[in-house]
Amino acid sequence: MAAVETTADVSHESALVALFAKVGASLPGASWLQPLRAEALNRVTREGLPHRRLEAWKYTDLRNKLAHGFDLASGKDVSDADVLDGLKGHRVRIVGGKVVGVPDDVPDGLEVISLAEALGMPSLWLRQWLQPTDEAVENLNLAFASDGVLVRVARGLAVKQPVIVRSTLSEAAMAHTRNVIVLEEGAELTLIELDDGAAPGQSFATTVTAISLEPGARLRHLRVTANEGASVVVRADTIEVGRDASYRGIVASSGAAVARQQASARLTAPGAAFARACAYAAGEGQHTDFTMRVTHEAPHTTSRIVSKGVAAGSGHGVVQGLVVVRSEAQKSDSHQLSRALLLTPHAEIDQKPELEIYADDVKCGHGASIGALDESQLFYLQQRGIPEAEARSMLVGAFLGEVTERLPEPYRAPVDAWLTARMTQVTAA
Amino acid sequence: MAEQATIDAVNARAGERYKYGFVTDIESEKAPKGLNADIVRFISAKKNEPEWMLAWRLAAFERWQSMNEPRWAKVSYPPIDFQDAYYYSAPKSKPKLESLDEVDPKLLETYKKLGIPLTEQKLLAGVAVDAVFDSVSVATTFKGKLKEAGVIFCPISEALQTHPELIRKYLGTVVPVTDNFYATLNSAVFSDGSFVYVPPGVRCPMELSTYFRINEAETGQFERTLIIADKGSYVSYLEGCTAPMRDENQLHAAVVELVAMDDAEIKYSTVQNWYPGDENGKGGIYNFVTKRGDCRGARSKISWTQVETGSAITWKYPSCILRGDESVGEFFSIAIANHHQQADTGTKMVHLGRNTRSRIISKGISAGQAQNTYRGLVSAHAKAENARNYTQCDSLLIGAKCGAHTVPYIEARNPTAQFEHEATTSKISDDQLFYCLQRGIPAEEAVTLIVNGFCREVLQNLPMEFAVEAQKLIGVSLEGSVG
Repeated sequence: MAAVETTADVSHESALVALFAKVGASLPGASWLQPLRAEALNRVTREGLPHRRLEAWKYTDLRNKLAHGFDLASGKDVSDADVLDGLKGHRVRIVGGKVVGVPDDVPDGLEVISLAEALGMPSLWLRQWLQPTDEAVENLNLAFASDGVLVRVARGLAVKQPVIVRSTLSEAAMAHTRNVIVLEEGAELTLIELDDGAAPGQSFATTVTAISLEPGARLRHLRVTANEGASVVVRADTIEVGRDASYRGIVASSGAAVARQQASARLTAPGAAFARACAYAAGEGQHTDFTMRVTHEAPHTTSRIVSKGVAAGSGHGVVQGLVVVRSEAQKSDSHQLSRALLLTPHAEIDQKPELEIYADDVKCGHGASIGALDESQLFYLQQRGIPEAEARSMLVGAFLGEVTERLPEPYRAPVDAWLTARMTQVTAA
Repeated sequence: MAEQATIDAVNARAGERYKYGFVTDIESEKAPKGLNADIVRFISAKKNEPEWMLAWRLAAFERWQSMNEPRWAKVSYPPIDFQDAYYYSAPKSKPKLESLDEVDPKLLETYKKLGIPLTEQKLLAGVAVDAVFDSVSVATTFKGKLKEAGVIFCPISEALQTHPELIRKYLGTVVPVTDNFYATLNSAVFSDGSFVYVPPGVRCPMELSTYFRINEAETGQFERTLIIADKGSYVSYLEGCTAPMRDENQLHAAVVELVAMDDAEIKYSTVQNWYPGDENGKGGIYNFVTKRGDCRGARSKISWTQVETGSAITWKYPSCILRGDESVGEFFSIAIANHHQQADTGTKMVHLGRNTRSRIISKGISAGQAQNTYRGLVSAHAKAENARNYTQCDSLLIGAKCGAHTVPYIEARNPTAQFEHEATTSKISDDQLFYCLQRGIPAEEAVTLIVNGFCREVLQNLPMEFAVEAQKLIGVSLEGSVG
């Protein structure tokens, strides 16, 4: 039996402490934030960076995968056209953890500002989003967060065009951003996020996004995590869904060495609904992790989780979904489906769909499957003159299509095109 | 001859050690409270064990001292003081019994109360009973018939004397000494248990059955069971447990090892009904069991069926290592938790060989304020071509204060593996209940009826005698959960 992993080697953590001593004072924020940052870093050093001995990180050994001694990114921009270029919307640009462009033509009632700027104003409403937690990545992010975007939609406003946030990291360095998205009562918004960039060495980006949906608010959320090369990307979302509010998200991820998307959603009042669909293609040297936790805290709440993914080469796909139904949350309705295709030997898929239920009058279920491409389907296509490689990507495309087909136009076409291109790379390997 | 020499040598050495620091009389029926190397030696000496066995136990004990109790299960209980328990106790010792007539009538009376028709066993067709009263097996029947078939079925302590080579070859090969905290503890202090060896090509002529019973106050039980089905053989083993009311929490840490060689099949059925504590969660057995089967040979099959209704805390994952090509693993489970019971149970299906298949059907029922968790692992290693698994785990909740949880781990490293997992959670629908009530069936009976229907797929896999008992047990276990 392996000995309990000791944290005797604290080089990761001590490098972080040294970095904080160097740059801490120059990070944005009013004086109230500095002690919170210090406390957050304290917690990181005390518990260590997440490693596989922690149940939530069982399949993603972040501590082991991370290089040592990162500096904070300087904000170098090597941007070219992005996969969502053609889309119209209110565009926010984040480079190396700093907001370099916010839209100025937003309609009345929509606020889109940078976190660094907001922290410069004597406002305390942000404080609730900037607290140390018991989650290592969130704490690390808080300690070093350099910027982020704040989006606030006023009561009853349905924003017509999407807010598009593109965040690029193209340096072998660290960038930590923190976003806050607030939809007031009855507001509606489509939020599109694109993560990209490839660095000459390992890069490490974390983004913590707090989403608050007040009664009746509706958020459509699309995220494409398209970082490449040795990028390590960790996304942590906390989503609070109020009475009759709804969150519908689609997350697609492919390309990064390590991409972890963790989400913790709370359904706090009757009628709250949460849905997230995930698609991933993990090719040679890529590790993709979706970890979700949905807590039904009130009666008559609904949650749906769907994930579909493929792994090839030495690709590794991880899907962990935990649905908790509290005893107050009678009449909850929850379903989770995770399906995955293993395309080649040496690829790995791990799934853990969990249920934790404390109420009896509920409808909860999950389904999970892992398998290979159906040989008979492949044969059918080849019989009709379609070359094997093409037939394979056709079938894989159809498999992942169950996620992207939930997207309305004009968003679907570019995401489909991107995913197809990635998938072809992955399956060709 | 050599064996006897070894035994004598051990006795001599054991006696020597007692002289210097260990005061308990070797003839005493109980080792003193607590656990140390001397207790381990005492147990070993008491059993007249060969020296290698003692060394094995001592190595386990040394290992155990450096281990920590597992804390990952979804159960909570006050810390256990492992020094505040007896690790060995024997019933009024008597030399080997020739027939049932020689058995202490008081003992027979107890069995009768428990509903074990021991005296009727000889009349009943096809069931041999190796009854464990506390730690030592006191009665074994139907030996003749088994002997004819060449099947060895005896207490493991006896097997250590008569077939030490088999024990030495297989013991600890499925559940290694270092496996986990409780298995290691068991390896150090195991008291007794069953040993079964079915020779090649033999179909065991009857279902083998053991009734375990915990009786003496504050005595932890550490059974060790080892079943070997050699090439092309078949055996069905039944294990049933009952225990009388008591206040003190009791620790039970058994280890069961199954080995199936080429084309062999082992069917292992359990009905577990130990004292679960009273309605307020006071008392009850702590059941921390390690059960594992090794499908070592090609085309071998191991099938676990369990009905878990008792114990305050259940921590149990009967597993299959599907090593042989085309081997098959099955797990059928009913776990009922009522009042304050906590059950964290499930299985592991580890696919190593080619074309291996496994099936998991788990039915969890929670009532009162109980917590019931299914925890399972299905994994395919890189060489497990065409591994196939189907898992279904259903939970039924009765009442608003209980919990039902599902924690499946699904890990695939082979593209030809095909895994499917389904889970549902539901309650007894008002329609079903109303339908029964309308027809004059009282609520409690109606619940039993519906729950029996919910569990049908698993009950069908039990041997007949057990199925009847299990159905009754379900009703008894759910008493007080309605209304």
